[in-house]
Amino acid sequence: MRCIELHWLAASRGGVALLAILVCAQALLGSTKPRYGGTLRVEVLAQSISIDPRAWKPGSREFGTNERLAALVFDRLVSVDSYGRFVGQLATEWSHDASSRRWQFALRPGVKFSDGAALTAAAAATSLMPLLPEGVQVSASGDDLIFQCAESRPDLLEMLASGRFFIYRMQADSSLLGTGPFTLDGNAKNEKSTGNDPNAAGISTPVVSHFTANEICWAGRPFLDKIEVFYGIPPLRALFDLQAGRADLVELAPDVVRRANQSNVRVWASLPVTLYLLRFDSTQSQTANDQLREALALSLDRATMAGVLLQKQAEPAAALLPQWLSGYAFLFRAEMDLDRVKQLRAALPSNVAGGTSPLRLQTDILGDLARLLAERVTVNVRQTGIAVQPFNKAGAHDAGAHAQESADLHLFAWRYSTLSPAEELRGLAKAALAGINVAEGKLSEADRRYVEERKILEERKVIPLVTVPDYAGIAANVRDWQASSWGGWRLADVWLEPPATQKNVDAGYTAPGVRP
Amino acid sequence: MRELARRVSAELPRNKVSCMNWTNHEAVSEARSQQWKGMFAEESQIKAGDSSPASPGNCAVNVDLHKTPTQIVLTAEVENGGNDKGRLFAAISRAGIPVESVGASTPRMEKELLWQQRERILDAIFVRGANGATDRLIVLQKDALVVYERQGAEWKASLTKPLSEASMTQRAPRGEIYYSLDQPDRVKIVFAGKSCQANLSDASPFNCQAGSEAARTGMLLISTCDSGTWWLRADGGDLTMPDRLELVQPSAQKTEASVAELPVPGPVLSISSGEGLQADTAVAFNLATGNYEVYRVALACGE
Repeated sequence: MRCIELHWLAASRGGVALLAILVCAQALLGSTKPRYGGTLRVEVLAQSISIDPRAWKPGSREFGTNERLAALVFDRLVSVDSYGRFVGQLATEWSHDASSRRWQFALRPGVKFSDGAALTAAAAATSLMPLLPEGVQVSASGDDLIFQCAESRPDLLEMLASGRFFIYRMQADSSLLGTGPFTLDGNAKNEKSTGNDPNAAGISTPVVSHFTANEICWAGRPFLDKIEVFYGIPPLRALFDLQAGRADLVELAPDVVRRANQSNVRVWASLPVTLYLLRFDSTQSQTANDQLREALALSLDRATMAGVLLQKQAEPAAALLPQWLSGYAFLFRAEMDLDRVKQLRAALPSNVAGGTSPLRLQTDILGDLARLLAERVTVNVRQTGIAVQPFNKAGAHDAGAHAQESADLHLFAWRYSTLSPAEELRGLAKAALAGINVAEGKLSEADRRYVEERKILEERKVIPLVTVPDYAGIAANVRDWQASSWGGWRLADVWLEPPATQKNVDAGYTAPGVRP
Repeated sequence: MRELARRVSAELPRNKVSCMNWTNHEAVSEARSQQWKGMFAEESQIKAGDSSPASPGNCAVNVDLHKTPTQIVLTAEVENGGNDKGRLFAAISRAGIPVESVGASTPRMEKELLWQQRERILDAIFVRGANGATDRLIVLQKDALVVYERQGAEWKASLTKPLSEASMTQRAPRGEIYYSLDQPDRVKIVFAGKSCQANLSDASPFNCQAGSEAARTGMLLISTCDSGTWWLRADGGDLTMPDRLELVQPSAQKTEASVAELPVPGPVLSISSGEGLQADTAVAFNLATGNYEVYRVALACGE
């Protein structure tokens, strides 16, 4: 029975007394109130992690996991919310000059590192300096940070709000301290590895990292007491652990998402954040032939790769930057044209991509997904009469004769790591696509960026295949799961509901990255 | 927007009447899209909406609106007489686009959006001005208590009282305002572990005492039509879920069904009253816009 207590008098407009009543109900608004406490058990696929942003390789597949874990310990100057607005983290306000070359950020006062030392502009500048791209300098001026850019950088906020631009302080033992909601226990080297050979048979031994709530976090103590992160967990085992209640949050590989959905697991999907693509090796004579590259590009059946091979857990890609990041990727088309391929094939010299000198396709990355894609590329291209010989770089010892051979064509993956489309295109072109340089300057303008991206794609030295989201399985007791659509998890705001009070959570749905 | 329209206009062959296809890929609200479309058409002198969806190819200009994490990207494809289309772009910061209100109501309950802001609101109370006094809105934020007064169609801040550090550093701070019509210039604010008195007529500091009071879980709501008394509560859920305001009998059990419901565009964070229970004030987090919103909730008479 509800308890109703007459509490105090309130006068109505006519002066008539009304009794205001305080009702001691048990539910109602109560379920929106988060609970403090508990340990979140997380399982990730990566064999090794590093929370040291200086060690991260842009575009690498581990980048996303590293970034998520680093976000537990470190903060950035700014962040982007789900509504496209910049929100101050360690910076409270910012401004720039008319040319967007000089930016000034005011640091949030009173912020402390997890050891109690005050955050200073000098410490922030020291941590950012090794992370910044060429042409961007940062310095401290009183309590402010000053960024000086060689060229106009209207996208500086997008850049600083994503990727590896965390603020940290290096200690004498080279470990890093942050101002974020958690501290990493035993943070001696900032990185850990399972040491397991991913190709070895048998059960690997998971390695665990412990994160503890930072009681003096400027944004408030997180709701969770601890987070345990197990890594190097095979995809199927992660799913089983979630179903068996041994884990609360697990990274899901794309090839187990369908099984997870069929099992009524609560699945979260980001926007497509990993691009699989082919790269021609510019040092190989065969790949210098424009017609060969065009024929190969037109022979690929991306719709089947995404829809059948990857069970609709991927999207066909025709552009380097995804639609959600550039806003214009829909302008690029990548459709099969077998008639055109036949014409091109007929015109090719006999020594190009023939039986005696097939194109050598090397898979630069591990995993079933990459292997399946390489096989499908091989099938598609062979159907057009072009000979292809696939082999696996990492498993070269299994490929015998191919171990020492150089490749004409590489299959690799690129994980998008910044919210600045200009920075992403620059990074993708420079770091991953050897030999291709994007023209410097004004890439922050969509017109110029589109022209540059189109130029790269028309050269066909790189051929996008598919883009794949990140997936996670989430236990029903995990509340306030508010991950960003581009892959951040925001675990500081997550709390655990005790089993006795759990509301029914719609199972079997794919939680969208973007809230409705 | 206008600059893009001018550039598109310059790309088009002269002395040729053109039309455009305008497609909003859920980048902005349809109302906003139509507003921009009108501006674009006016600036570019291109007829808007002349083409039917069945024959989109008839128009020389296609404008597409897409959303990225921080921008709305407008892409204009222009048939300029050559083999290739001209492609022009404009990007508009999403943060700079004014928020539109989201409204919905049921026949029995009505809600009126009074205020919205980006900063977190813990609680708010709307006080209807009596005897010629102005309406007031008392908003409790993480860092301050702010009093707004209605001046015409706008709210102007008349008083800001900063809160203590203790209330600012909690991830989910608790703060509830209690207001009594017989003490119009005072409020009581209940925080976790203490309650404070605040004078709304001057800048004097809070007068606080330690104590623990039960968290408020809803509010009575009295119908001005028949003086019936109801209990207004929220459906509950976590911060990621849309919510409902529910009207139940004051003696209803927790599981008892509501007699009326009113959808709100996000989780309800607080319900309070500053109008002698003849209307309540609800604070909600709008999941669609990311703003904290203050609604006045009252019972409607008749159908």
